[in-house]
Amino acid sequence: MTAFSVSDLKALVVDDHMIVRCDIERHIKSLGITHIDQAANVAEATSKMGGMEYNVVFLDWNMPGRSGYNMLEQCRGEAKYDNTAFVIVSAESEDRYIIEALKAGATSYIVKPVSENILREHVTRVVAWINERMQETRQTA
Amino acid sequence: MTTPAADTLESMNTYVSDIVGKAVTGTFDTMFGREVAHTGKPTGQASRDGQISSHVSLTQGAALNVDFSFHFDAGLLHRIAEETYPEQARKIPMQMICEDMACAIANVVGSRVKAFLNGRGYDLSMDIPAVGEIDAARDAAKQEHSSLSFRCVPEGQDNAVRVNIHLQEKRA
Repeated sequence: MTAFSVSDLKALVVDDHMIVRCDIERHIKSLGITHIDQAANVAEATSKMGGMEYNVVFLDWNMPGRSGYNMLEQCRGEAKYDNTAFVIVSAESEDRYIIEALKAGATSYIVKPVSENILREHVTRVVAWINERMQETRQTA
Repeated sequence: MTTPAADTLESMNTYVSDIVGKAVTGTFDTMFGREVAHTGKPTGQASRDGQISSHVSLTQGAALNVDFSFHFDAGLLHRIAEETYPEQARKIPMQMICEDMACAIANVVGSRVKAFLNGRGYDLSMDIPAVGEIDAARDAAKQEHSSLSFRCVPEGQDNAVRVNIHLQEKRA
């Protein structure tokens, strides 16, 4: 079976700021991701995730209404998202937030503002994580 | 209240201003590839015309407030929006895009200051940034203010960005 690559990723970008969603989309598109959807809040993201199997969700922590952290916790409680990578993208740079996010099941954590170089590093990490998950799944099958 | 690290509002104001200066220039560079330079205090009389404003507050219970008001030259944000988000600029009202930019910048700068202060022993939380000017009517026992001005380097435009910082400590 061939390894999963960047161009295979289906991405969802969730942030209440339109310009942040556009920045992330622009950068990950230039990295080779072609399937990219956007959501402005958790309700919209949840609805989109019901109709599409995303491999990676770029998720803001602080948003009006439900927080991204809350959504992450909920998704990690559902087996259908076991192979979905969640990358928290937040302006919160304090260690306690990063630790909390990783404990809740985030695959990685990016501090805003985002740049293409930082996203490249994290997208590479996501692809490696997905490949590991797929290998584990094959071994246990 | 007792401030950690033996801070006074005056000393706090000094290093908060320093962080804001660096955070604003860094954010413009990373987000928009645009150079703005901290030039010190605003010069001349500030006009609210042709400006887009946002604000954000850090609070530690009822004891400490650190408020930030950001004022951006609307022309500068329009130009950046047209260059950086051309597709959105064709579909979404320019004012809406610029207000989103103003709040996104406030979010990054406010979070940067919060992280620094909490690293010094404070326990501040930050609200979600909003458009417009902050309600500065306070009944503080002690207050400090400062204003920073930024020049847009490519255009040579002074006061293209202004940030007002307002620190307020309430004694028990």
